[in-house]
Amino acid sequence: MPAHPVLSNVWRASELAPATSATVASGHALLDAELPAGGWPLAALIELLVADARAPWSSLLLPALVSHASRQGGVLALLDPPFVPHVPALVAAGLPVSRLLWLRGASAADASWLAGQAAGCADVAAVLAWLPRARTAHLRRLHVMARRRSRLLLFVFLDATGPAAAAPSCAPLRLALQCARESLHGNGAMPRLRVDILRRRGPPLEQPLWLPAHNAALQALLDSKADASAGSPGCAGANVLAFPQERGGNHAGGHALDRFAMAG
Amino acid sequence: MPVAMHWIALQWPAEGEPAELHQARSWWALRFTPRVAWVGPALLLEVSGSMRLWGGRRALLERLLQTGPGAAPVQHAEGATSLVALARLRLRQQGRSPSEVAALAVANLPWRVLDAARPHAAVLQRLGLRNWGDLDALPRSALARRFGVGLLHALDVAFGRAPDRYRWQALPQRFRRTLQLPQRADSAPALLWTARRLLGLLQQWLVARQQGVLALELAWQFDQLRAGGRALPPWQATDVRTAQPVQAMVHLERLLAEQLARVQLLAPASSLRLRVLETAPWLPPTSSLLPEEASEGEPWHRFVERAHARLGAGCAVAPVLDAVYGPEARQHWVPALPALPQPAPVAQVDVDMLAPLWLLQAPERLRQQDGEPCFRGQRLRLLAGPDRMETGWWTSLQPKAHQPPAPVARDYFVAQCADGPLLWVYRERLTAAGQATAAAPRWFVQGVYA
Repeated sequence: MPAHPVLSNVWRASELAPATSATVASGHALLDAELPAGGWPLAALIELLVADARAPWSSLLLPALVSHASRQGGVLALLDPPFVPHVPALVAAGLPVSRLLWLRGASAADASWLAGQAAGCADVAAVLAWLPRARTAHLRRLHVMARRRSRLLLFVFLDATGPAAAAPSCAPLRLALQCARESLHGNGAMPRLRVDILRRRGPPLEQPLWLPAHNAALQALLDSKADASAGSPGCAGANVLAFPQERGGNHAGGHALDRFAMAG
Repeated sequence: MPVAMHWIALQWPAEGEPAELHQARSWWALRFTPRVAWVGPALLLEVSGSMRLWGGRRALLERLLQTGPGAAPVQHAEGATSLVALARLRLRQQGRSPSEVAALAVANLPWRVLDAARPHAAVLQRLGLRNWGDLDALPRSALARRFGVGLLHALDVAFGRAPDRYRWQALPQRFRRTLQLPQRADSAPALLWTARRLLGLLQQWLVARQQGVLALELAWQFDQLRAGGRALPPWQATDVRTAQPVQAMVHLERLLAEQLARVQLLAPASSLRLRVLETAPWLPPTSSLLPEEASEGEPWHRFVERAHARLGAGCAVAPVLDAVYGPEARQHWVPALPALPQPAPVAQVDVDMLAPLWLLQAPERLRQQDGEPCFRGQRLRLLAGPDRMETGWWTSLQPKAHQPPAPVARDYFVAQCADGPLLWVYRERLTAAGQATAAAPRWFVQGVYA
């Protein structure tokens, strides 16, 4: 049964919330189906709980960031990322170099101040903020700032083992990300990104979502590697693999150098 | 036909107002008309020339009563000459109602509200004269002989037969004001309260000159010549700059507050000076007809300037790509500019498809077990590679002055930790030069597939 016919902003707890604000498609059909209104909500705080910074969260966010940045033309602000952004790779992935901003706060207080300032700037289209130890009050303030910016995509990374992860959240969406092996593929498959939707406007999701952990080229390589190691252990030696052409008309057709030899 | 003049007299409550408010009010009044003068505590404006610009008498008066700096004027009055306006203002102060005062004809105004007549109050009273009309009806020569030329001239001015002469207020070409601090300031943030008063004054000056400020200097003077056994400079100063000319002081005030929070005073300060270094013509923001174009947030340059003022230029940095090979040398970071760069057409970036999105600050040496690399005690599994990179072999052909980055000879691999995450690692290759020194190839981790 659809949402309540009279009160459009009332929904049954067993259904996903109807669209109240604009969204950006995440680029992953599996995830979009489980998010209210079919994508990352704009003008809202999205909390991502990550225990290990090496978990492959980039591929989860990148499609939405690229499409949002190209449509809005705004700046993508990275606040205290755990690693240095590799700009040539980010540009190759589709983010314009003139629209990248790296924010660095010396302390947690500086970082949360910077996050608020970036979220309040009209020219910033998306903010990725690493505030592992952020307090609930800071997050609530950030959410209030985001509510005023109807075209802002705001992700905040929290430490999954920290106090903020245990505290009640004001964010309409809270996800936990980790790198894990999918149990359905019993053959020792390559790890994938396990996404648990901890909080959303809708019924709780009991099953985790399994998403590709890396971009298509790397994922294809890894999957074939896994198949090779699981299926035919006898095939030794270098295995040459043709890669999908991702980068447009760079080279006409395949090129011998666009193949990768896999270390046996 | 001469244009009928129109004078407006305004008066504010006198007690307990800061001194610079007087100055601020005359500059504020100058935005409405160039003819502004103080007569005692009353401010006179002659507005016949600009009344239409401001939408007529009533609209102008409303604006005058509502927009002034400090408290609103307590009394106002109008008249065809300055003395009539002043006389009506005095009647209002004596408690007469506005309608009663406005209805009073010029000839019926009592002589007690005419300054020039006051010294002769006793004589005029005994003569049975009551108002301006009675005085004006007296023979001119006799009046001049009896009471002096001053009263005669004042009557001429009051009835519009002689011009009004005042010391008109003028706007200085450059803004430079000094205020005494109410008490000695021991720390820079204590200067802020007085600085705010100076900024309020500056705003009036900017609006009257139709300028926006780009750069200003706040300086403070010490009340001692030496501190800690060393001679002090007479002034200590800090500069504030912004990318877009502004008239509203909110942004500058916040920038100033952030800067002052980081300044250490050499000695207690006694006075504060504000000086404008650079201005630009003011263009008011264009408002859009379409509601969705209204920006919902502050402009880019304010965000960058405030972040830099508070946390230093290193807190907001933008990437620059360099046409150099080798992952470390390909990018560097510079402080973000207050002007947002136009999106350039996507440059062809030649990067390995398998390069990760994230790098470590510097390549980190990996331990080795049985010749295989380990990351934090876990043996790494090499999944893809080697991807050979060799740079800098041509630098020997270039002149030495260019200082190219050190040559790199590496084999890159995608490696997997035992618990799942992928790393971008490389093995140093032994070049002809390195072969003599290094015994075994060294492994490094450089990137993370996060």
